[in-house]
Amino acid sequence: MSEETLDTKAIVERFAEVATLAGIKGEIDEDGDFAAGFNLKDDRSQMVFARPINTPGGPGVCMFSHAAVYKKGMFGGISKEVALELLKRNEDLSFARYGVREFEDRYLVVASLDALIETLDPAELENSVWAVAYAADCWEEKSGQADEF
Amino acid sequence: MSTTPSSADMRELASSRYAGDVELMQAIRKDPALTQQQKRADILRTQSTTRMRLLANAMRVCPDVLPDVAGAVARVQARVDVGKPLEAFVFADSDVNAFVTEGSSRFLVALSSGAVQVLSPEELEFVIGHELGHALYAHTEVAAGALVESDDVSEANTKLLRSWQRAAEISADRVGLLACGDPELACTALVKTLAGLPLPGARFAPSDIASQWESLLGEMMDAGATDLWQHSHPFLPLRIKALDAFWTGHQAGNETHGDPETRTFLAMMEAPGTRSTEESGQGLLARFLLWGGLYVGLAEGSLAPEGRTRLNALTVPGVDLDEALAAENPTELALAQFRAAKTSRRTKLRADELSSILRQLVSFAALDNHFSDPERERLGHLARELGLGHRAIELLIEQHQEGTKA
Repeated sequence: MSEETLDTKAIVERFAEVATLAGIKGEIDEDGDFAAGFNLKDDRSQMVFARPINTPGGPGVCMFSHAAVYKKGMFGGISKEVALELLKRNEDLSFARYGVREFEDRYLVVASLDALIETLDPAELENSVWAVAYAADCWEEKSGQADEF
Repeated sequence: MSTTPSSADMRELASSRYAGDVELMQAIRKDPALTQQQKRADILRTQSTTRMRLLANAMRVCPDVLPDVAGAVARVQARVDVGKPLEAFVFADSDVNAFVTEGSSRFLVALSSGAVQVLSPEELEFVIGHELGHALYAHTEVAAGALVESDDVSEANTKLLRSWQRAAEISADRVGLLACGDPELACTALVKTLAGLPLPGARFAPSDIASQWESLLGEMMDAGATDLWQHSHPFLPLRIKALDAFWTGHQAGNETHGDPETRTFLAMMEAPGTRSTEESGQGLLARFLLWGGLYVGLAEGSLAPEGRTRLNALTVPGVDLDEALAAENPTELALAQFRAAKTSRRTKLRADELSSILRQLVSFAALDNHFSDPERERLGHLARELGLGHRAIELLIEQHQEGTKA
């Protein structure tokens, strides 16, 4: 299926419907993503987003949560040690992955997980979004950044 | 009861058309994407070689060679005026089958050799009338088959096209019945098509197929077969039921022509979550809605009249609501049957089905514009029975209330 034929609105609405069945309240934000907040241990919280994507198996969603921001610059960016640590932690994660998204002035570390929308059920969605939220929060806490996301 | 059809009866044809056929055809014609695709199909149709292929590979019906078939064609043609000449063919195929297509100056009706061998000339009148029904209602103008096979048509539109095709078959069956004028003849033709056997001298009434229909309905609900929407034709037992509903209404002078019952039957083949199933509360989820609705409806002791009406409209094989209400403990019975509906399902309920069940139950509880605590508790209980948390019901109630305010 090509990018042009991906019905992003229908996918996000379907995701929101399954999220409701999973007891998760969220809303569709200005980017067209589904967004929901999660309260974690020690008064920490995390926002998780769901964005429509194409997968080899058909239309899907990428559930992701922001973990940390690394500004670019002579003394900024992501060090080799940090990158290596992310890779090592990726190996230990069961239901999410860390990744780096590059922007003009910064790198954003996100925890994410993809799922096919057609077969997504409430239990899978609930497990997935919590896994993503925990993984993102875990890196945010480890990296010493404030509970920003 | 048999009546002798005349061309005067045919004046009723316009009003006999199944309303669902008209509504869905309008929806197809309003859809910009489908209109665009339809234009391409129209261009291809002008270049159609169907007549040439029929002349090359089938036998043209004429009184000298196929007198019985020619007689049946002539009789039906005299009763159903489609506004263009008709040319009929018989093609080699052991299945009982037929089709109609529109050429530039005529309609072409083709019957399989299986149909000619299995059906009597009178039963063939039903089949020919059915095909002329497609011509009469301009079904041939929508290239549904080609559109469905196109890669450029969305799944939602594919579902719309398939729904319409099934609805169009219902309308065409009605013309077939009015053309042959005998519901038993029409039923016999459909039963023989099911069996693929000539069954000489046999005559069938819709009641003869009633228990098979009930069994089929039960199997469909247990299977939770979500791919039924892909069928272009309703199942034959369903068509017999729909014809019976039409004829009963027709004979009684009922203006609805059995349309409400027919909608209920056709909903069984719709994809879950589509407008027609949501609006009618019908379809393969009817058992969940009936028993769940009864469980919620009894939350405050007795079932309100509007709730009773809503539940009575649901079609669930072998269930009598009055009997259920007269049971020693109807609440326990409803809950047990709701659980049984889940247990007997051979496939896991999909997220859209879960959503459809719960949203309709929430809507049912809100018939009196109020959610009482016992109703909330019972809705939560049913959600847990379906493997969901109580929070899901809270959110659905919240969304329902927001929707009502909006």
